[in-house]
Amino acid sequence: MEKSHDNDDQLIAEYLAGDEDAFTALVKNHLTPVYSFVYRLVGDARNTEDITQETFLKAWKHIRRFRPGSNFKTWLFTIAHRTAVDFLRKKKDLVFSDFENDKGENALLATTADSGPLPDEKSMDAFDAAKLEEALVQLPPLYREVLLLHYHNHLTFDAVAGIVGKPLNTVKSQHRRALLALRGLLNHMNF
Amino acid sequence: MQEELNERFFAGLPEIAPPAGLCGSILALIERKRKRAARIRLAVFSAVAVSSFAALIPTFRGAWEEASRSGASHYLSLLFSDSSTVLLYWREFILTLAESLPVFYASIFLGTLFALLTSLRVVAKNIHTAFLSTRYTLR
Repeated sequence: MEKSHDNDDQLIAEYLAGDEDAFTALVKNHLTPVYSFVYRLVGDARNTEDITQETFLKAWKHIRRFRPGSNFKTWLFTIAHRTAVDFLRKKKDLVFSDFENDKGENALLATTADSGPLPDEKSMDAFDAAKLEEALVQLPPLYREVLLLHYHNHLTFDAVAGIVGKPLNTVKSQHRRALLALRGLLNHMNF
Repeated sequence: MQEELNERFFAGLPEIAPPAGLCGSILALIERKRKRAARIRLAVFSAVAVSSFAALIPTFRGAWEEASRSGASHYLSLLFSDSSTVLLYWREFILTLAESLPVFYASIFLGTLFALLTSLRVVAKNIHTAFLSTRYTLR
């Protein structure tokens, strides 16, 4: 079960006071969300394991830089994002995002996205998580990341902007375009 | 409203369970890095401890010789031979002693002593971390 913000602060304070078990508890609490996030970003188990390990190692190394009172989950996801982006850059997997301008607009996507609605409440009864996974995989990593962080990990746009290191308006714009692209993909899949 | 619908839509996405051994691997990796860092500190501070120990006697001798030359050692011996006079004129005594003390040599000696004590403390702390303790494990 994911621990609350206050609980994270408490665990960090205990760790900094010398209780090493507190860091183990932090790893256990955040492992699944971080692993899921990274897996959906990079798409294969082997690399996800490496990136997740690296993320927690970096968190352990730099935990003294964590500002008390700020959100540990956001801080940890920022590390996971940067580690994953470094990995994707090495793999040169961010080609799609090269079509993006400074405002987060993607010329390629704008010409291919269907502007139909997301599945409505009625069709959600027949919701198939596998279809959504399939559609998400086809989204560019940056769009996928914004949607997952906001809707799946329940982070605010402010927090998402901090994690991906982009201005708030850019993230909001990416979010809109990501939804458009997702609608297009789901409609294309007859969902 | 649309935001709520989207949230519900994504709520169906399951968390992907990490492999069973991943948590243990992460903790083992951290443990390895912690021990490696402790061994590096141990090597560096052991070298500092040995060098500062070797430098301790020459720096003390240098400081003492300089103190004898400047007369500071005579003033210091007054503390034992004529302590009542020293107590009576303690302000003048301190000023005279401060003027005659070989500050440069005394600083070198005290710096060496400080380096020795600090490095011994770090060595003692890191011997335990590097070879004896295992903190990050799954319990």
